[in-house]
Amino acid sequence: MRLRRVDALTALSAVGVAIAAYLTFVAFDTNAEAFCTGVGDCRRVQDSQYARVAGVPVAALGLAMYIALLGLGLARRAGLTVLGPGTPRLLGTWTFALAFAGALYSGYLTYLEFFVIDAICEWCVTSAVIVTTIAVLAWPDLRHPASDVPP
Amino acid sequence: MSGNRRRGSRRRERAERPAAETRATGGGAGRASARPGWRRTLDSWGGFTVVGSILAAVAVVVVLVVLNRPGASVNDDPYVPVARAAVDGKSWGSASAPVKIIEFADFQCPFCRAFSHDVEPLLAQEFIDAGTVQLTYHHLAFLGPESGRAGEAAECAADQGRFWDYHDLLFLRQGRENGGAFSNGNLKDFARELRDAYADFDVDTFNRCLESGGKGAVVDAATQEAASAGIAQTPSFLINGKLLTASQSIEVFRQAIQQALAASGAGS
Repeated sequence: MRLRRVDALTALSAVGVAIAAYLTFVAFDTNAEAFCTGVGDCRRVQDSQYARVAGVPVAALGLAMYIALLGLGLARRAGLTVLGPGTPRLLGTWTFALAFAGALYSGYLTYLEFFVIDAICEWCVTSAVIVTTIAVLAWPDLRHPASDVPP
Repeated sequence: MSGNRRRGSRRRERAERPAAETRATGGGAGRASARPGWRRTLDSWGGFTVVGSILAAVAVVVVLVVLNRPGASVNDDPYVPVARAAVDGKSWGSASAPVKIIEFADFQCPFCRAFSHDVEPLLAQEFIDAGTVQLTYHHLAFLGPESGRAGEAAECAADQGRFWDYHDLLFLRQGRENGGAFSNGNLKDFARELRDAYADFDVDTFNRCLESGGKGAVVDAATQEAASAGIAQTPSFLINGKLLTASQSIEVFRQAIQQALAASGAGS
C-alpha cells in the first residue's frame, strides 16, 4: 500500500500537535521543565527572551499552526468540497502557505538557537524538521492538488 | 485490481487536467494570449491565490520576527556597578540612621525604575551616605509572573550580599511587562553580568537558588504583607511610618525626610 502525501502530511501534523502541546504546557507551567536528553538545553531556550512573541509563547503559536494543518489535512482526506470544485486546490494552497510560514519562522528560531541563545532545544529542532517536511510535501499541491483527492 | 483502478484514475486525471487548466486561466487560448505579460507570469506561478498565500505567509513571518527581534524586550545599556556602603541584605545605609525609608516596589514597574535611576542616587549622596537615612527594599510583586521571578532572583542575589547590585541590573534591563525581559534565562544572564563585575559572586549558587524556586514564598509573603498593610501601588514609601506614594522628586523626599527628622528630634 502506497502512502499518499496527504496522509503523510496529516500524520506529521498530528505529531507536531503533540510536540507543540507539550512545549506549550511547559511554557505556561512555571514549575515544569521540558525533558531534554542532554544534547541540548531546552530550559535555556524556553526561558530566553525569544520564547515569547508579544507575551504569547512561541510554542502556543506552533500549536495553533499544527492544529490548523491537522484540520486542513483531515478536510483534504475527507475530500471536502464545501468551497466549490476548487476546494482541494484551495486547501492545498493554504496547507503549503501555513507550513511555509512555519518553516521560515522555525528556520529563524533555529538560527537564534545556534548563534544567539547558544543552546539547542531538541523538541524545537524536531518541530522545525517536521514543519519543513510538511512544506516540502505540500509544494506539489500548489499545481496538482487533485492527485491527493481520493478517487 | 487496485493497480487497474489507480491507472484508470490517472487516465481520468490526465483527461481532466487540460480542462481544469483552461478554467484556471479563465477561458480559451485567445483570451489567455490577450493577457498582459505580468498576468501570464503570475498565472505560471499559480495565480493570485497561490502567490497571495505565499506572500501572506512571508508577511506573517516578518511580523513575528519584528515582534521578538533581538533587544526588543531587554535594554542592553552597559551595567555600571554602584559602590554602596553599609549594605545589609535589602537594607542600604546605617542601621542607626534616624530616618528609615521602606520602599515598596516591583521590578517591572517603570516608576520604580525611574525612582531607582533618578532619585535614589541623589538620596544616597545627600542622606544615605551621611548616615541620616536607611533605605530598605520591600517586595510588592504584583505585575505578573516576571515580577515574582525577578523578586526571587534578587533574593538569591541577596544571599550573596548582592541584592542592591542585582536590583540595579533588574531596573537597567527592565522591558515590556511580562514580555520576557525577566525570563529565567535572562535572570541567569544578569547573574553572569554581576559575576563579571564582582568576581566573588557565585553564578552556580545563584542558578541553583533560582531553579529551586525556594524564594517564591519569601516574595509572596512580602507582597501579601505589603497588601495587608494597605500598600496598593508602586512605588510607595514609608518614611518613619508615614506613607508617600508614587515616584516623587528629590525635593519631596527632602521635605519628608526633614519632617521625619524634626518629628524624631534628630533634626534639631
